[in-house]
Amino acid sequence: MSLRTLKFALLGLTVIVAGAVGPFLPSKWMTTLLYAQLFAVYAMGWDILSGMTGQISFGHIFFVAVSGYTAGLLNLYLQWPIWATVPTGVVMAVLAGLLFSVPALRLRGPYFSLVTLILPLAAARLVIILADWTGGELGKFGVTPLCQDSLLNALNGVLLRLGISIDGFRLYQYCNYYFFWMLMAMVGGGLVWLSTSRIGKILEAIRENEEAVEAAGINVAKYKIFAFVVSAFIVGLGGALSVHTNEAVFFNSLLSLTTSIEMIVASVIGGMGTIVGALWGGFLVRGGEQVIKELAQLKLPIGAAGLALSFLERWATLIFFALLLVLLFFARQGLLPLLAGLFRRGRRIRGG
Amino acid sequence: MALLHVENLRKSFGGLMAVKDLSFHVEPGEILGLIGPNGAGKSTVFNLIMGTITPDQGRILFKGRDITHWPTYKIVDAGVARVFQIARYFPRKTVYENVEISAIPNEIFVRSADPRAKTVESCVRTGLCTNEHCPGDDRCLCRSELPGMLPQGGLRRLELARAIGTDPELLLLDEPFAGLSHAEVDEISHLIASLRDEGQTIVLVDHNMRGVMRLVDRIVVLCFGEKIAEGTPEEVARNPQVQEAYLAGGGF
Amino acid sequence: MEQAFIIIERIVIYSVLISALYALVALGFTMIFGVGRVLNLAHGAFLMVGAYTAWFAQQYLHWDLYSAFALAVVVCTLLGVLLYHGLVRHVQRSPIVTLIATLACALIIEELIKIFFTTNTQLLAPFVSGSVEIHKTTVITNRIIAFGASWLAIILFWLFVHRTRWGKVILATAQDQDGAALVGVDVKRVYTLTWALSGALAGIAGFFFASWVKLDPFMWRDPLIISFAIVVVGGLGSLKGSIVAAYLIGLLEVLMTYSPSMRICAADFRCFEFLGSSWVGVSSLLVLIAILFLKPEGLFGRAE
Repeated sequence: MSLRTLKFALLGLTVIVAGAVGPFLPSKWMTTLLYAQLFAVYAMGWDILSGMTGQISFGHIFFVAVSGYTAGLLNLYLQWPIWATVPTGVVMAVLAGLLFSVPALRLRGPYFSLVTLILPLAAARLVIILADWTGGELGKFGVTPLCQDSLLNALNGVLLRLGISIDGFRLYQYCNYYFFWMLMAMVGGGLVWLSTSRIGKILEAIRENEEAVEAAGINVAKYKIFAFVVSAFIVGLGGALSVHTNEAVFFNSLLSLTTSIEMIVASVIGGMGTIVGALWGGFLVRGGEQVIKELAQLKLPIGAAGLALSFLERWATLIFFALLLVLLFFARQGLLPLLAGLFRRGRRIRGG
Repeated sequence: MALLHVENLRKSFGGLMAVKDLSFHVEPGEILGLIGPNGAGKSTVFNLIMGTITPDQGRILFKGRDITHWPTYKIVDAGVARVFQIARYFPRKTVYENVEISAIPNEIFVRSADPRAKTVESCVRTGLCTNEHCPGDDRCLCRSELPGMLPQGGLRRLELARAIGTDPELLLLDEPFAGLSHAEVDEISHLIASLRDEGQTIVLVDHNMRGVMRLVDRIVVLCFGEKIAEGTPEEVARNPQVQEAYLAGGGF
Repeated sequence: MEQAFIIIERIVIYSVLISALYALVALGFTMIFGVGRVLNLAHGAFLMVGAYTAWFAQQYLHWDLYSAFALAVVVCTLLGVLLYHGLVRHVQRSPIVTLIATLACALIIEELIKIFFTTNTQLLAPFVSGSVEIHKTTVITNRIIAFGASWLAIILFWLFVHRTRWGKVILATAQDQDGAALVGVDVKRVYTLTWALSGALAGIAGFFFASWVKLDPFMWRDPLIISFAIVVVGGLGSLKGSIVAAYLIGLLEVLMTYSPSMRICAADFRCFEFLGSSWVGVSSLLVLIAILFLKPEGLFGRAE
């Protein structure tokens, strides 16, 4: 089985499972998985640039912000409809990526990473200076929902004809959930294809030895810019759509430094540069956070344990970063390469 | 017409003149030896030709086109390839995948021919894997090895295969025999000879004249960045200035 | 005319004062980078720990200000050593992992402070309250003390590096790590010393930074950006360059925040302030971004 087939199979499996569990999810978990899917899109978008070429971006949330605020503000103040705000947001993110990639190309290793860290910090300043429009750290409500009444009514009509009746809120949730499910599947499919294509091979080669790629007659800068643009496109698409799902521009979801670092974590957990690994990492990160929160809400009768659990919620982020440090020490390779290694070893043993 | 023309090339680092008004040319189909003691500026000349560094003065013409200020990848695409003395490979890619990168054209959006045939051809030509290894080419032995597992001679072959994969009209070999065992030297020099027989134009850098005498058609001798002699191996060997330079450098 | 002169005078005095603090803020960061080629993204968090330690000792333990200050310096020194031995030493080989790890540390510290002290803004009592009049400019007395203390710390640091044996060892290590190891320098001990020093400097800087501005769990970001900008402008590991850069950035900062601001309003009465207090920290960002776009290869000089 080729690597491409294997990755598509794993991706397909994940997508099918995510789609199949949908109807059985309690409302809270459905929301969690909805955001996990969105975050998985971010993580995959990060992975195609940073995971594959080895240029570690600390500030990918910047592209989320550019696209999200563009889409959200155009909708809020100029009443642009979704079909206009989302593409405009994405175009802005791509332009930002393009604009940034050209000077960033000349920076290597940690200097590149440091500079990417500056971008979201600068953007945060701007959002706060323009707080009268952006709502600053509190955000601003009133963005047109992704699943509008007309769409929901149409869906309801179809379902009723099939003899299924779902209450309004649930239907709304389903609509959002499966919208992002489709987005995740499409982005995953596209990126797996790209990462296993010739372009992907070159991006990987750039990570391993830039000079050797140049010596093979390949314009490294061109490929890096391409990866930048694709990455900004994917992440920007997720950002613009998330604004319409949240029906608001939220500082914390569009410009949180933590989310930016979590993209790295997701990819590291799953295996950098594997795309499918980043997808899994995305689910593990968001799912894990929710598990910690759930645990924290269990009111255990046993004194000490109950107390310990109630601490968990407040400590969730901290535990998360502590786990990241542990991971950096012991499992830098990530989940998917680990599995692939086992798989390969198994095959070798069977094959003699 | 000569394939490569180097005209009045000059490059200094700080106060040190590494290459001083150097001119030479390479005819199609020949092997030119660029010989000189250590520190004579041979590798600098390669770096200048490949666009890794830019000259202070002078120009480099390849097939009549001025490539002096081109970036490396463009020079490679135009048909010049270089084999480094110290192998520059992709440590986590298999031998096959290493060679494959050279066979992929520098195009993102244009659909192009499958690089597989070209990759296998480069591997076979350089002896990285033989035809018996690749009956259907899918289970070719050279595919599953990582470069780190290859011996020195194997790494040199890998470098050659990666260079040949770019379809070069001119191949620059930087000290191809450095660090090899006697047996490996013989193998690689056979390989170079066979490449020449296939019509490959080659410039070969070495500090050891004896090793390359039988291989090259013509020699340019460099000393402290200057050309001190040029001619057939016999002529150059008889040149008293060359003998003196080599005795002083102790390299002959 | 008179009015303009007063504004210029104010800008000059304020920028001279704050730039000294900025130089102090960046000093530890620059040193760690110069000696060990490590970019310590937890540097700003060090300052924050110093500030909160002093505040805690004063507020809850009812210590006097001098003891609180001393405690802050000690805690930060220990934190520096702890971070080096517990983490950085093990991941130093990979610059990217070091960046992620130190950033994770900064975020962990941010979380800890959120947990224990909430996200509320706190104020640190100044050494001396009140203000003095310099010519026609009113200056808060504590800022003059911060200025003096910063210069004192910088001069002491300079003397330590250039006049003591250990300082010379640090310089040697900064120039050539392997060479220093060859002549018998215990490089690990030098690193420990630099991290301890960097922590101590951050403690001092944190104390004054907090009494100058305020305390909150996000206060680590500005000092980090300032340090980073100063290293970028001033060149790596150069004390003189850092001070010049600090004064440049300090001047820009003051120009932005103290120059008359402009409120620009749309028809629907939504406004934004062009220049003014919300622009604190913007100038170092602008300098960074400008350098990035105009002269990226000039960043960090020879450190590739």
